[in-house]
Amino acid sequence: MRVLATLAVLAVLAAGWSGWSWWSAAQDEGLAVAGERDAVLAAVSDALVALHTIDHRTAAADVDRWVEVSTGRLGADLSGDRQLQLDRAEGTKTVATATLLDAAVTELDHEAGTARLGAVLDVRVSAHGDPPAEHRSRLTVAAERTERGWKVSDVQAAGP
Amino acid sequence: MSERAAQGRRATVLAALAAVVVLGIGAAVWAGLEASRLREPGGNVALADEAATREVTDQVGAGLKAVFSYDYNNLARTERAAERVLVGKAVGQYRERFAAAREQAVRKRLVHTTTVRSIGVKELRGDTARVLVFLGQQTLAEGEQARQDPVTAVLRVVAEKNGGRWQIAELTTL
Repeated sequence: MRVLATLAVLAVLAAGWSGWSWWSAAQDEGLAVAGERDAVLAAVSDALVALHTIDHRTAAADVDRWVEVSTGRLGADLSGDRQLQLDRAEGTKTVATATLLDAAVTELDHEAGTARLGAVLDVRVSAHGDPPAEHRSRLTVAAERTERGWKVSDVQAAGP
Repeated sequence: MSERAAQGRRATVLAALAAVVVLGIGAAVWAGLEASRLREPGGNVALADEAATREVTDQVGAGLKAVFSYDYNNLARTERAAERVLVGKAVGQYRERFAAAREQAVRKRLVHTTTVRSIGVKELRGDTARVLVFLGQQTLAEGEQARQDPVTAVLRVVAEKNGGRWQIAELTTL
């Protein structure tokens, strides 16, 4: 009984200590921003690769994925142009793939749920079964936090 | 009768204590896991520590502008900036790039201007930072008007803080 009582006291103390640790981590603004920074970078990295990927044989799923990873104006434009994109991919027998070389968050507004990033990708595009042509894409990207995570709201080429 | 009652009470207390132990350990483990999940970014204070991040972007940005801008008429200014701003590997990496540019600048009377378009700190831990920088670069011959938009260059930079100043220790062009 005494052993059990001691264990109970220790268990309560351990719970209290972990609880305090959790609470203080949750209150820590810096930790929240750091977590958000990593979340937006991961989501936008995946989204940019997806937005540069299409295969005319799986075009419907690829374009659905574009719509899924985007939001705002870009999302509306992409879903509006869906059929156009499908026809174009089919007509030119396009296969495009991309590799992300590097990306960084340049601005992050934790409260508003908006971010800006810079990213560099190598994009390979092939049409009509020709060997793919590779080009390097330097992009500035805007992202917004939605109910279903961070999504890309704008992508611009960072100049010539 | 009273002995039985005491035994029953003892059993109840034991059960209650056992429940407290189980619940306490469960809660401790759960809260511990949640706390470690929140603390995951582990020491990378890029953007999270605003003042420290701004110090990196200001000083690294200014340093890049200074070493990648030159005027054929005053190349010494760029060389002085390079001595101040660059350390370690970056010294050799820069010299390779600058040697050719320098020769051409003198021959064609060129003025080369670099601006920082955007700059993002990926990692900031203590005295080391990893930075991705988008630069705008424009080269003009003497007296020439700008006809084209600046060209974009992207650099991956490793920066080191030495004696209170951020210096550039590694440069990679993307």
